[in-house]
Amino acid sequence: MKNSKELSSSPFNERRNSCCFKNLASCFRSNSVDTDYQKDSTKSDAKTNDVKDDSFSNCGNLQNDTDLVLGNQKKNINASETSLKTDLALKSAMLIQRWYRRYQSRIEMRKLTAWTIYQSIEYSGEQDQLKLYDFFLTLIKNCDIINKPNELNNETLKDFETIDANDGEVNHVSNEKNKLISANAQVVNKVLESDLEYMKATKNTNLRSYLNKRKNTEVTIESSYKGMHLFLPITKNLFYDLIECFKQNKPLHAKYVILILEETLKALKKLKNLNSISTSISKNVTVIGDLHGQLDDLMLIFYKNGLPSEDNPYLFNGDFVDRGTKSIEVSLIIFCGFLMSQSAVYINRGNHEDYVMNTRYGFIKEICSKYSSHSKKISILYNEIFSWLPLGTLIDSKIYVVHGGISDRTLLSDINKIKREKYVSVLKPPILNDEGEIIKDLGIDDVLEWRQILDALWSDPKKTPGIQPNSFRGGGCLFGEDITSAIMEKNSLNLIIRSHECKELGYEYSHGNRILTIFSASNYYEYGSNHGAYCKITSADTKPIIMQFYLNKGEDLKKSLSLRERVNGIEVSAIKHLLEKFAANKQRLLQEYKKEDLDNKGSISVNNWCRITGEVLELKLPWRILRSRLAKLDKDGRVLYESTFEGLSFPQIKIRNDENISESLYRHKDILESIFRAIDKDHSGQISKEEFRDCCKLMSQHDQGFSFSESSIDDMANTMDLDKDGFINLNEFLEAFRLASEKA
Amino acid sequence: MTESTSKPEIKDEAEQIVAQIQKKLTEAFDVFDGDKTRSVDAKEVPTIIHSLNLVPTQGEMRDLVTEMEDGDNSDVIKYEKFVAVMTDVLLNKKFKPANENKLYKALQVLDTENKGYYTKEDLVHLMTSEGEPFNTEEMNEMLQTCTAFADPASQADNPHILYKYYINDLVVEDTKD
Repeated sequence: MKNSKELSSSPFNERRNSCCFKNLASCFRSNSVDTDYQKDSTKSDAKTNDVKDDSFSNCGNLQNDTDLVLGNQKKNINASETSLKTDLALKSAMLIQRWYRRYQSRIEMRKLTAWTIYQSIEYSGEQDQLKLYDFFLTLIKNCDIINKPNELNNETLKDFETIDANDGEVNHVSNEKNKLISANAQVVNKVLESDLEYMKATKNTNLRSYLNKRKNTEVTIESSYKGMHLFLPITKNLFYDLIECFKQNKPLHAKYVILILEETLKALKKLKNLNSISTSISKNVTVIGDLHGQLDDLMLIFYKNGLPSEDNPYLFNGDFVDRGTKSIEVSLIIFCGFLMSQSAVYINRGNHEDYVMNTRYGFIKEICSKYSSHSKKISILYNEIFSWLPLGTLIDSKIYVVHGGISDRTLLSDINKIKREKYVSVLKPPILNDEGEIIKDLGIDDVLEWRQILDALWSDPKKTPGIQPNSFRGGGCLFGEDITSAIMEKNSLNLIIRSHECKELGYEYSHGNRILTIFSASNYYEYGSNHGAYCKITSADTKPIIMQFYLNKGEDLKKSLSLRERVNGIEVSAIKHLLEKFAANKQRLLQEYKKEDLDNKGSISVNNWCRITGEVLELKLPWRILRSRLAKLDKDGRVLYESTFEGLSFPQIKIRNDENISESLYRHKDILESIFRAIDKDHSGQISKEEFRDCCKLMSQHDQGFSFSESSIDDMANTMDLDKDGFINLNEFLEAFRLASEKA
Repeated sequence: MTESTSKPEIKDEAEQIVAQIQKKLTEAFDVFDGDKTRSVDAKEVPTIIHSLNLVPTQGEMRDLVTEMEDGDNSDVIKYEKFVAVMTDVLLNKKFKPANENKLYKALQVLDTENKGYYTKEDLVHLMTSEGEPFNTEEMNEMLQTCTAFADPASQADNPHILYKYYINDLVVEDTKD
């Protein structure tokens, strides 16, 4: 592991640091430095680097204006004893430097392009998830409408439409579609019954009796269990043991997981929405951003920064679950630290502490695979805990730490009034009231209250002033520097620390150093894509100390990757992601390409290729730049559109040789998985073919991006039932979808 | 994102060329416009310009960026300004790189002893004291990558970088597009 300060390339590419291009060292080393350098030049590489750094810092003769370089050659010559500094040598050096800078910039461009790919795919997934939530919401509403047909209340729907329209979101549910869904809702009523039952139960805080009713067996420890034992209260030693246990890759028994979760839940209920930390006694607090189940990063932070204690408190700013493979371990360590001492660990909720997100991004899957027989109980406890997590934290009343950010309507005093536990998912306003009944008359106040949470957990800062909906992600808003100034003044703040966005350096200052983004999952998109960072606050008036880290793969502990090597790595993997999209949309792409290929030559213009690819894949990417990595050109500079698909195939799904069906399954595998997990209430990993089919049919009436004829849905369901026993086994199904690509 | 809606009837060739240039510029710009606000950080502009396969001097570069600035806020460059300035640059074929033979000659000129290679020290000396010198980061980056082109007969702790091979690495990016 290595703690490198900087990995980016030229100062031009320095995206965050103060280094701007005035001090772009148009520097001439003085003679003395030259001599120093030559003296040392026989030493080892490492030494060379040191010396070089020295010689840079020693060069007093900084000149900003490069034109001077050309004009003042005399000066140059005077300053040098070598005969090299002739006009020709100067020009030659400049030529090489210019070529090199161009070369570096092109790598930088490739790197950013790869980032754009990752980000676009990540955010379009989040948008899908929002659509899915809309769908479930509509289903639940309709279920109730069927039960009590006379109480159909159009006002509620109208409210939704007004709000959505205000924000420029257009995914509202039209009445017509609604009728269609009503007609079918009975079919899935039974699927959703348990969902409603659960939601009502949690609203009534009868969770325990609900859980007991569902599964009234005590969890017992098998005699074969060799792992650690845990009991209350959680002491410092137990906490350390737990960390050690996870470090050694040992599992913790379900009984203890449930014990920790139940205790955490109790303790969280006593906290406010916004909690306070004072640095007056501890003299510091460490803020950790997104970890996303990357246990190794957390371990590295503990190693470098010490374990949490009352003298060394930590604040975890949300998103510790999903995506990574060790969300359970990471969250249990955080919760145990919190149980050990509430002055040692503080927690904020992130947008991934939300069960709707967890169905897609892996946390539910992780629970199912690690604790299959108790997965239901554990996942319900997690949902409940997530809904009770604090929404933000104030350090010394001056530094506001929140997962996403703010909006023009953010008011800390309002956030503190919210009943946060209502928001089991923050993606839409709550639809159940305190008594567990569906709210028929969702008022504007309810919606505003919900927006406070959504803005806090989902927003991102932007460069330009003003406020706009975060349509890129689908939730929260984008806020400009003016909004930041106004909100900070209104709430008398010095600094806002937020997470939520992956940054190459692990951190980023924006809005005149008043917003600090901290992201703690290193190599988030791909090995080499980004640093992790955390920050230490010593008081509200001093600048946070930022520490960057980077988890190296075992084999190259000494050697750090060059920018080019890093870019190659992340690029290959980004292109692989893209090729998956191509494979999943092959038929539709070819169909559109062929429409432009009038004389059937197998080629179309670059323009048309870019336009069609962007439209079909619904991704706004720099297709002109990417083209050279995705498709070949013919001698006239036209795109040979079939060349992208050479060597791309699905090895296993070749059912009845129907490419269209395997392709639609593949294209929608994420959303299908989400639907599946939502239906599969007991996390058995199996659902009946009928349940699945009915749900897909409704989904396809609801969402135009997911529109299939009844017969093709039947085909999909039959296909997914690989062993033809009437049940769909999810893991088997997903396994079949590993795309083999010779290219990637 | 900012792809202009394609006009069906483009009148003459000149207009078509401008349209092509602007598509290219838009795409490059968008890559750096992370928050999709049709603006980029002024510090990114030199990278965008270089990545378009242009090689202005540092002085020329600064002039270009100054031309794009928009009065009150010089930290942020707006899309419209960028496209206006750069369309002119591309139309007039300014700042095009010389062909790679010249690059090879340049490397030969600096190799006064005709060794056919550079040591790391040679490179550091040349690139940080001559012309438009590299800063630490640029230099480190170059040293990290160029060792891949070392003469296998030379010692690992003092690699001889064979520039006739290294040059391929510098120009390989240059696909025609």
